[in-house]
Amino acid sequence: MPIRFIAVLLTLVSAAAAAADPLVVYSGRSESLIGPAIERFEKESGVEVKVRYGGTAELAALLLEEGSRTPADVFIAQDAGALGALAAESRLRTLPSELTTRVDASFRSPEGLWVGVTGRARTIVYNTDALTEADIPVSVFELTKPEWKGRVAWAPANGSFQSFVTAMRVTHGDKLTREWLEGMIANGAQDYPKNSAIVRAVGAGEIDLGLVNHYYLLRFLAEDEGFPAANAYTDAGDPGALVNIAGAGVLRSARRDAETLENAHALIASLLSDGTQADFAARTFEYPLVDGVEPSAGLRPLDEIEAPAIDLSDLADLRGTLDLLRETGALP
Amino acid sequence: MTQLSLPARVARTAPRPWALGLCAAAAAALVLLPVVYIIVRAVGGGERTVAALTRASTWTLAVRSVGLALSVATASLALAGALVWVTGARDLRFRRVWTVLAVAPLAAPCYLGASAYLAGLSPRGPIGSAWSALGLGKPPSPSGFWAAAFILTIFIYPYVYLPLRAACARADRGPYEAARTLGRSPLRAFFTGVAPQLAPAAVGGWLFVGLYTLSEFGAVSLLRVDTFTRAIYVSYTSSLDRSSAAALSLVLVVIAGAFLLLSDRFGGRGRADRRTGEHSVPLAWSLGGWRWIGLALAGAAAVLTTGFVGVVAAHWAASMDISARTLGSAGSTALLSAAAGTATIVAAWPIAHLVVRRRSGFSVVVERVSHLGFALPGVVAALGLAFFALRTPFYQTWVVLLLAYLAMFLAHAVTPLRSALGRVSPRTEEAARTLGRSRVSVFCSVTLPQAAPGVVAAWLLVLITTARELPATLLLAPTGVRTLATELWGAMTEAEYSQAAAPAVGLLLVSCVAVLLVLRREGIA
Repeated sequence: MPIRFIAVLLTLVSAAAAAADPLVVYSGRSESLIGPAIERFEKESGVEVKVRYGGTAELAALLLEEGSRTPADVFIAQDAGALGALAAESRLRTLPSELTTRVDASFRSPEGLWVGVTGRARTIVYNTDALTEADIPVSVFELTKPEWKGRVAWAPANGSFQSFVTAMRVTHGDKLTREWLEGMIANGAQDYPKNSAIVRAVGAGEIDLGLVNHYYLLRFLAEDEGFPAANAYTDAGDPGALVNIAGAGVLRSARRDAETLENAHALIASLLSDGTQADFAARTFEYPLVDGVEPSAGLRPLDEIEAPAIDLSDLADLRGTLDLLRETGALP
Repeated sequence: MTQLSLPARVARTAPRPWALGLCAAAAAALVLLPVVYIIVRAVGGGERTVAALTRASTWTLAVRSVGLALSVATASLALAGALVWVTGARDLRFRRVWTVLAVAPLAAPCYLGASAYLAGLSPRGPIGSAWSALGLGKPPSPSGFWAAAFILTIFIYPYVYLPLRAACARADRGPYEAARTLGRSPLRAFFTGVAPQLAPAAVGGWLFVGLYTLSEFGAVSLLRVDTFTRAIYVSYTSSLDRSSAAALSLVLVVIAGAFLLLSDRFGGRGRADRRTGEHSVPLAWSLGGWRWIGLALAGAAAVLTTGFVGVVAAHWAASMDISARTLGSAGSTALLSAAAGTATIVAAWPIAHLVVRRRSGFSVVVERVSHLGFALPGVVAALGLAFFALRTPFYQTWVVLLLAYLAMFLAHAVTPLRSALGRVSPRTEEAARTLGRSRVSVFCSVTLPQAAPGVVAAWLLVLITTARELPATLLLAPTGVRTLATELWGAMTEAEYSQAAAPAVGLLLVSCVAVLLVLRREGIA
């Protein structure tokens, strides 16, 4: 039967391809942001890397469902919450200490299960034609007021936003977070699929404010200096100023062999190397986490951002946040 | 008269029935496979599934999805009816041009139409910049329920227009004349004499558009309307627990199934109660004093669809850069669609053969089951097969995606294959067998050539439908594989309108071929 023949042929082909053993990476970061760093690793090491791009929570869910059958070797997440969620389910393998000690203790898992690669600060991006910095509220909790009705954009399906909500739950408790979410929805918060779409909309004048990560705006400004938008930071300790990390971990998998494990560690080492960190700083405008590499000029230094005092591993309760988002209607 | 006795070898003219029946049953079972797995997953979710089903937001979703489906269906029926009236009038000049324009929106799948509107009206797009230049202020940004209803209507209405137009061509003037001689007013005569003849096509089209809108994913997601399809996709991709997605999929399949059943019961090609042997006169009408209103309506529809998309497409074509990535997507699209077309024809053939040549209770059941594929939205098919494939070696390979296409499009292939096979006379085949040809040889030299036009049409239909497919491909494509549709989707969700240009133009070119085929089949071009 032709279909069966094709199926068998395809399985054989895919099995043969697996025998050549490329490194399989699941990346919650989009291709435009992490692709060049991975290509750089491929060129330097000669190891072939196959990347599956998707949403961070989607890939985390996929990894949890696949369990030890997962074909993935490395997971690159957009936020600490997803990495923490996987660590809590024992899906991550301990990393060698020479990798984890490259970054500060607050940017890695206490058990050494994942390590931060770059830092990102939550900001409020606003349209400079319509507003000035003085107009922007100093706390995200003020965005539920009537004057901001229909003027705020958010992306509830995005991993960084979900981490921000988890941070709010840690600092202010579930009850206040629920009230804030319901207040925002009642106040007409506009739902966008991605952060980049929000920043583009703000610049185009489609919407006045957006809750995003700091670096998207800088990339737009690099292409077009006159882009009419700017970042504003909220006040001390407000969850709106959360400093999160994008990080990586190696997965526990039944099909692991020593060579693949070595390649996986080499990939993470490459992401933490001075050259790639400097590239992140200069090209994607994120905060490098390795000592000795400076962030891009024009960025507010990391220690000047008054982030809420939470341990990044506290953001592991992604499941609870997703339930809350669904119950309040922010996510369907 | 003595009967010629056939050689014993030829007496067994039909292939062993159980082999064919098994193939047909397997193909039909494939349609049910995703639904079975969704049920398994939902039941496995236990109380989380119950919570998902009883949540208030699920009911809001149901109301919104069905509301959108009914609004779009009704608006499409109204628009299609008006356009049939305009383009069928005997005093319309350039009738062929107007008819082609009325059918043209088929060239843009709904998500492409929505992308054209979003990109076109954005401040840097061709229409948006003209809007601001004319001093009209900020161009409107299409989003929300009514924007979605509008855009869906103007791109879906041809699915009502074509059957309604065909029904008008077949209808008989007789009852109308009879009612008029009895003293009824023209309007009343129309409702009692003509409308019943058009009703099955109108109702069938109305239900079909409703079903199509329920399954629609791309356009509603881009326009940010929360319907079931969007909710299922977001739920599957953004949450750690998939029972919610499974629960929502179940509700959607039930609603879609209801639409399909109603469509089968009340829709149709036309009532066969016209008495045979009577002289029947085709309908004919003039626009008369309503001429300018009719032309304005047809003109407005053409401008909003062909005109708008044409302008945006020209802008895209001028500004696009065909990167290696787009060429890769085009290649993958071609390969996948061709594979899907071939696999679907091969899978549907046993069913068509059973229905045409060996009609029985079993063949009816098999055909009805495969017909259920019309009620299987892409998102649901992908979800079910993803749950199924996880524990098989086919996980994340082309095979699962192909199975999803088979499940969704088998129903599309069975009907044209049936007509193709129906036109092949069994007598010719038997004659070839008596001349000593083997079964395989008879199939290749007699059956296939005669059925070829229908087979090719079915293959092309599945190929084009697969090329335009979005949600299943998004969810099931192997790592790193992209089609034109998913590349367009990726660009649109990042609001990178310039990167959407190349895949959009590629998709339009493919769809234009589809429109040409439809026009030729309907005898318009």
